[in-house]
Amino acid sequence: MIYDVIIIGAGRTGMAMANQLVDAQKSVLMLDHQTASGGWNQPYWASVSPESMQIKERFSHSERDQRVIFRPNTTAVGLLPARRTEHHTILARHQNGTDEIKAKFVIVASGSFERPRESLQIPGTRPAGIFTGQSLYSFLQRGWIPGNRVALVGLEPYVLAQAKQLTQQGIPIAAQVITGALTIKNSEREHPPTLAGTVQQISGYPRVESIQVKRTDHQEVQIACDTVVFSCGRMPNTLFLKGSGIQKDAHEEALRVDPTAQTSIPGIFALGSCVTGESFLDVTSSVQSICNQITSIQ
Amino acid sequence: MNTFDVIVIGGGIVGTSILRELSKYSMKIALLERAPDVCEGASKANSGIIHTGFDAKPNTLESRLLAESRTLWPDLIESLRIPYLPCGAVMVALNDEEMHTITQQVVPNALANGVDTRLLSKEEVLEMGPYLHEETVGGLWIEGEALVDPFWATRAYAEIATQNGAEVYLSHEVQSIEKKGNGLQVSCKNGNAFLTKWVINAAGLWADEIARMVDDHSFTLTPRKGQFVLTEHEIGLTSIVLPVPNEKSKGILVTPVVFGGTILGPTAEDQTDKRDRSTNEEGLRLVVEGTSKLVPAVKQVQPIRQFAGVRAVCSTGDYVIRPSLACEQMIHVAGIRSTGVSASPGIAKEVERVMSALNALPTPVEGYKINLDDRFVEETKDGEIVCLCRSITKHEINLVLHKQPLPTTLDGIKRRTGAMLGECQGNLCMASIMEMMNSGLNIPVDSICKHEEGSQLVCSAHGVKKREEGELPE
Repeated sequence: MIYDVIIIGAGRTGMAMANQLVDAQKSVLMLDHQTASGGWNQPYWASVSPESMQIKERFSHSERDQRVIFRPNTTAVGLLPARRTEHHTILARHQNGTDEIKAKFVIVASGSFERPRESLQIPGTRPAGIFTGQSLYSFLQRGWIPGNRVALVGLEPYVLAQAKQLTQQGIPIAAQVITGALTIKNSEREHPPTLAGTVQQISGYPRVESIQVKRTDHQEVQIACDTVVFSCGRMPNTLFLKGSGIQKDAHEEALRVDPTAQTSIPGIFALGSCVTGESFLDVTSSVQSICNQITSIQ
Repeated sequence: MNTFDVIVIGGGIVGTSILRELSKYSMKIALLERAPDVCEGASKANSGIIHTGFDAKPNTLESRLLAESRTLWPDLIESLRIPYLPCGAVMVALNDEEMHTITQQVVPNALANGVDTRLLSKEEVLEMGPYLHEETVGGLWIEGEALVDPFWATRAYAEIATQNGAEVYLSHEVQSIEKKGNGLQVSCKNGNAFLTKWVINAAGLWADEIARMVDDHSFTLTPRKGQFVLTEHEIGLTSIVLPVPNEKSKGILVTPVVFGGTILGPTAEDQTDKRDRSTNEEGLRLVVEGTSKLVPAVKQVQPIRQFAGVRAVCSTGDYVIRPSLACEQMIHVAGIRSTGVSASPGIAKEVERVMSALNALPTPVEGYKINLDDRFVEETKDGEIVCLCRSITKHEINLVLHKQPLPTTLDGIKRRTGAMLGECQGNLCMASIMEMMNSGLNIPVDSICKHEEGSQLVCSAHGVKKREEGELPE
C-alpha cells in the first residue's frame, strides 16, 4: 500500500496536521515512537495550551473511524527521499523488525526534547537527581517520586506547570529558578521561593545536594535540593534524518524549510518544534500551507 | 568463608584484563570491586585511545608493555568483538619551534620505542585533515594510534573471565588485609571476607591505600584530573589530532569516538581529592580554546556532555608491577597513569610472568573459552526502539541484563548498550530502562542507582516510605 501522506510524530502538531488532511480525504499513516498519541508535551497542555485537548479528541475520533492509521511504538529511523520513482520511503522500526513504508508525501512533525543539563554546559559534579521536564513526568506518571526537595529551572510556563504537578503529589519545591523574564507578581514569589537567574554550578555526589544560582541582579545564592529539573530550551528531534539529504541549520539540529513549510527536498514538509526549536508556537498557517500544496499537486 | 587462589582487587580495565588472563589457569579466582559495576574509575573517563607508546619514556616498564600490547590487541579485538577504529593520529605543529620539537625529540623517541612515524609537510597535513588549522607548518603521522571502546573492553574482559569460571563481586570495598595461616584474609566493608593465597592489587588510584593495608609504603599515588567535552557535531574528523607535547603535558587532543561523536580533552590538573570528578568552567574553556588551535571548527560545536576522569600519578615515575616488599603474596599493579586501556593486554601478561616466577600458576585449564558470543544477531522480537537518540532496542537491553557481570546501575546499562549516551542523555528513555531492570533483574525501582551507592533515582515509589526528614544537607 502506498499512502498519500506519512506523518512522523503524533504530538499536538502532527495531530493537527492529520486532522486537516483527513478533512481533505487523504490517506494518512501516522507513526510515533511512544505508546500513545499526544507527544512529549502533553503534560504541559493543561497549563500552556488547553486547545491541544480538542486537537487530540478530533484525531482520536478519526483514528476510531479508521480515516487515519496510527501506529504507536513505531520509530522512524531513516528516510529515503524519492529518486526517479515518485515515492518517498520511511524506515520504521517496531517490535517485529523494520518496515519500508512508501508515501507520496512525508510530513516531519517529530518535535523536540528538552535540553539536558549537559547541553546547557553547567559545570560541577555528575550526581543522580538531575532531570528534564520530560524525564520528571515519565517518573511521576509511574508513581515514582524523584526526590524530597526539588529545584525547578527554566522558562516560566514550564516551571509553573511542573510546580503544579509536584504540589499535587505533595513533593516539596525548594525553588523555582526562572531563566527568562519574570512575570510572577512580587507577592507570589515567596512560596515556593521564585527568582530570576541562571544555574552556575551543581554540587553533591552521588546525589545532588545543592545548586548555585546567579540571580539577574548578580547576587549568588545556594539552593539546597536533592533534585533539579531543567526546562531551559529545546533540541529538535531530527537525528533520524541523518543521511536523508534534508538540510538543517548551522547547528545540524533544526530542519530548514521554505515559507511554504517544504524542506530542501520536494514533497517532504516539516513543521512544529523540529523546525523552530520552540514548542507551542502557532502552526495553523503551516498546516494550511502544507495541506493546500498536497491537495493541489494531486 | 569463601576461599580462592587469587583475589584481584579493582574492576577497572587493568583488574579485569588480569582476571581474564588468569582465568586460563585451573585455579579459583575472584575480583572485588568497590563500586556497583566494573569500569567506574579512570577506565570510564578517558579518550579511548590505544597508544602506540611513541611518546613513552624509552626503556621503562610502561614503554615495554605498550609495545607488547600492540602485538596482543588484534587477537583481543577479534575474540572479544571490541569496537575498534584504526584511525591513526596526526600531530600538528603550529610554528617552526614545534616542528623542531617533532624532528628533534618526538621522532627519535618514537624510534627508540620501535614506533613508525612519518613527517608531513604543511600541504600533507591539510590534505589529510582539511578541518585542521591552516596556519600549521607541518606535522607527524603516527599510523599505529587507534581507538577502542573502553567500556566494552573492560566489560568484555570481565565477561569472558566469568564464562571461564572467575567470580566478580561488585559493591565489595576492601577494608583490611591480614595474614591468616599460609594465606591472606581480605575483609570488605559489607562484612564479607575472603581467604586467598594471592592478592593482585589493581585498585587504580587507591592502590597505594591497599598497599598500606599490608604495611607497604613503597609508592604513593596522587590524583590528576582530566576534563573532557563530548560532542556529536560533525567535524569530519578522520584521525586523532594531537598537539606537539611540551614539558608539562601531552596536551589537549581531538579524538573521534568509536560509538560516534568527538571527544575534546583532557586537561591535566593536579588535585588532592581522589574522588573529585567535578568539571568547572575554567576546564571547559581550556579544552575548547586548546583544541580550537588545532581544529578551528570546535569553537562552534554544541557539547552533549562534559565529564572528568582522574588518573593516578605514581611517585616512582613508572608502572609498579611486582610483589610487595612487605608481603610477597600481594602483587602490585599500580601507577598505570593514563595508559591503562592501551597497555591492559601487556600488563596482564606481565602479571602472569610475575606469578609464574613465584610458582603461583598451576596448569592451564582445558577447554578455555576464548571468544565472546556475537550480540548483534538480528532480533525477531522486542525490536522496538527504547533509546531514540542512539536507536537502541528493547532486545539489545534485555540481552545485557542477563550477562555476567550483571548490570545493576543505569550507567552500567549505558556502558553495555550505548543507550542514554546520545543528545537527550537518557532523559527520554531512563524510566523505560528502569522498568526493564526492575522486571528483568528483579531490582525494586527505588533501589536502582545511577552509578555509585547512594545514587538512587527514585526516593519512593507507590507508597514506599520517603527518605527520613532531615537526611538532606541544608
